Amino acid sequence: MRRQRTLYILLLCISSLAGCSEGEEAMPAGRDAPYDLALPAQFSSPPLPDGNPMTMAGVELGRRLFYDPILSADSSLSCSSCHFPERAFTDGRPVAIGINTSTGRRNAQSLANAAYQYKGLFWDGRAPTLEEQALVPVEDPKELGHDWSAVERSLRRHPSYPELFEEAFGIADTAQITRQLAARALAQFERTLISANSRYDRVMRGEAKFTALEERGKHIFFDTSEKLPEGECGHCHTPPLFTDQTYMNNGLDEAPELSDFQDKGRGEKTGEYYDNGRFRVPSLRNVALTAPYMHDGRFATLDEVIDHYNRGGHPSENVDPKIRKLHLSDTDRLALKAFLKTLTDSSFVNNPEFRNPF
Amino acid sequence: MKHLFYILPLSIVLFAGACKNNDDEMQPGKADLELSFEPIAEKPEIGGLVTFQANLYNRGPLTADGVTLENSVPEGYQVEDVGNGGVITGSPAVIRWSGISIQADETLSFTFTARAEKPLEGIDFTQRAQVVASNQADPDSTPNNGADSPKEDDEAALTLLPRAGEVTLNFKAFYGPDPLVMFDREYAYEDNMAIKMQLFQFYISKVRLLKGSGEEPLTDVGLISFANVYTDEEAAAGISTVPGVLPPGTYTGIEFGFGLDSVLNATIPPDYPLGHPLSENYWEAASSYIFFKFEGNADLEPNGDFSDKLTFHVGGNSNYRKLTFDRPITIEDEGAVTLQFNIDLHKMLVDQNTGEYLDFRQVTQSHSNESPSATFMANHIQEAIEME
Repeated sequence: MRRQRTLYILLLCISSLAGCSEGEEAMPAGRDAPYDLALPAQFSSPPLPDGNPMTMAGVELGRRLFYDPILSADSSLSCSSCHFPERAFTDGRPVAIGINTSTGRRNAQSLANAAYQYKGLFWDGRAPTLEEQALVPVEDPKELGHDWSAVERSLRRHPSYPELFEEAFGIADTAQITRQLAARALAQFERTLISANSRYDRVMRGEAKFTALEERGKHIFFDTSEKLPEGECGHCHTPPLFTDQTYMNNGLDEAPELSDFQDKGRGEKTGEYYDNGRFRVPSLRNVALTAPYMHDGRFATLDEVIDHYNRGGHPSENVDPKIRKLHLSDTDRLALKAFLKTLTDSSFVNNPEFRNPF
Repeated sequence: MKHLFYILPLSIVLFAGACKNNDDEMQPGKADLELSFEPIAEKPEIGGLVTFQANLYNRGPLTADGVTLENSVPEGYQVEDVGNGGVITGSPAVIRWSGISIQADETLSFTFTARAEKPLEGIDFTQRAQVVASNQADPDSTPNNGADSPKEDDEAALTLLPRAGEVTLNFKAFYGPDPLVMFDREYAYEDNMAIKMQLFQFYISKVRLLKGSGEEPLTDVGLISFANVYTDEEAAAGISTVPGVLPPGTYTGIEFGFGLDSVLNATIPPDYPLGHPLSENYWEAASSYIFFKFEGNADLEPNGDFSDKLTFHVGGNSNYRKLTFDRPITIEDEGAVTLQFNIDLHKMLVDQNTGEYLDFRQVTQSHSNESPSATFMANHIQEAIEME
């Protein structure tokens, strides 16, 4: 065996001397081991980009970057500063607070099931992929307030990142550490954040039962009982992801003209007049943990959210026609809230693999 | 161990400085192998059989033994038969002829027969053959280094697409004589009501072109959505399906389903990847996809206030409609045909013979596939769609 190995190496050297680079040396076992992403059977499979295959090393690097304040200008904030695992990767604030306590303008969205968001990320959908999304907060002056060139320099001279990048992406030297690779690693980690084991899921799998109140709430949510009012929720918050991934105006503000919206939402991205005031329909998975609600965090509680929809929203030309007065009783509202709470996935928020590695 | 086998001859070749093509010089102590495909003049039909022939010629001067020849079979062909002792393995398929001995100035032929698939976008139809091993050095080629494209004379490729034409369905939506646009127009309705649109979409499925007693499937399913049609210009452009391909010829008509037939409707979104038309628009409680949606606002008073909401979502096997249009359709090889369909929403809401209509003062939504409003619209689909 030893003799064979020597001969193999000798031949490799000869081959190199001759100027041909056939037969790359095999990577050490486990270094580029693929990450086995366990996809829930009840979900459609998500798009996984060929250009960023998930590996154990890539996901682990992404997790470290996610929790490392090295990405912020004064080393005070990381991605996790606005995405706490215990809050289903939101931050509990109406709008995000960035570097030097600068106030953002929109609510930090949950990262649960981010892998499945294929119609745009952010409230306005301006980033088409997780890789592109991950580049944005670092240079946003109201988020991490840094610049990628400086981050790249810090990562290159860091005592451990060069080796982690090398393991994740097989780079030959530290100069090859780039923002694109960092974004790829962050995207790999974010794709692991899958939430599909809530009480709702267990009921759907026949492993648990709803209480009578939850069952009533489910009927209201999905408009499935002739004896109960229709909540109209399930049209847009479609299971199993509890979002249809569209952009809509849910009647938060009255706007005589659609150009009147202070935050134009989707219209900012598309430039389309009728997209003004539309925002991404968020998933309701773990919704009990993600207060406050809406793109500007205006509703502190689920009760306020339900009250908003019960009143039928405010008028404007593109308010979605499914936003209408619901005529929910107090018991109906309680039932709807009870059902929404069944979407909490404690195994997701407590998963140690998603927690801070430092 | 595999590496040893390949690297040894490779190293020898490289030391000999032979990493170049040199067809003109006969080099002593070597066997110059050349590979080519026999040209095929006629394109096959989709589903037709083709016999490919790879010719291996030894320019000499020595006999080559232990020669192995491989052909990578593209996705566009399914191999039916392999001649000359070849063996087919793997997926994607590779045909391998091994143990070949070929004398100087001799030509040997290797054949296989394969069935041509539909030339859909992204499907490869190029056969790629190469010498992957030989016990004689070759002056101008290196065995087993030509997987991507022919760059040495011991490699050969042949691209052969079947005869096919491209067919696209385009749908334009109208409300009576007017183009149907979202938001921007008010449409007069029965009994002094008026409506404005926000969404109109529908599934088509099992699209087939008819030919005598047979049929050629074109597309399984498509979602036609007018959600982003805001102007008359966008309405005039219509919404197109992803182009499909069919064998050339003259067809007698086209048939497709409005909605999903019971087989497709028995599937569920997790059966499809996100982005597929059937990964969304599913109504779990009804165990059905929503075949079509019509959403908008109504002015019922009338007072110019479009504050009443209209949301009609219709699915269910009983509301599936199979539509047939008898019309000669000619498809030429490498040609592209767009079949134009117009759908008139007004005709789905108002019976053109009896004047009966969906009364939005009585009903503003459909949440049951068996509701009278759902059935009414489904029953008027046939007359709402015409082929130009």
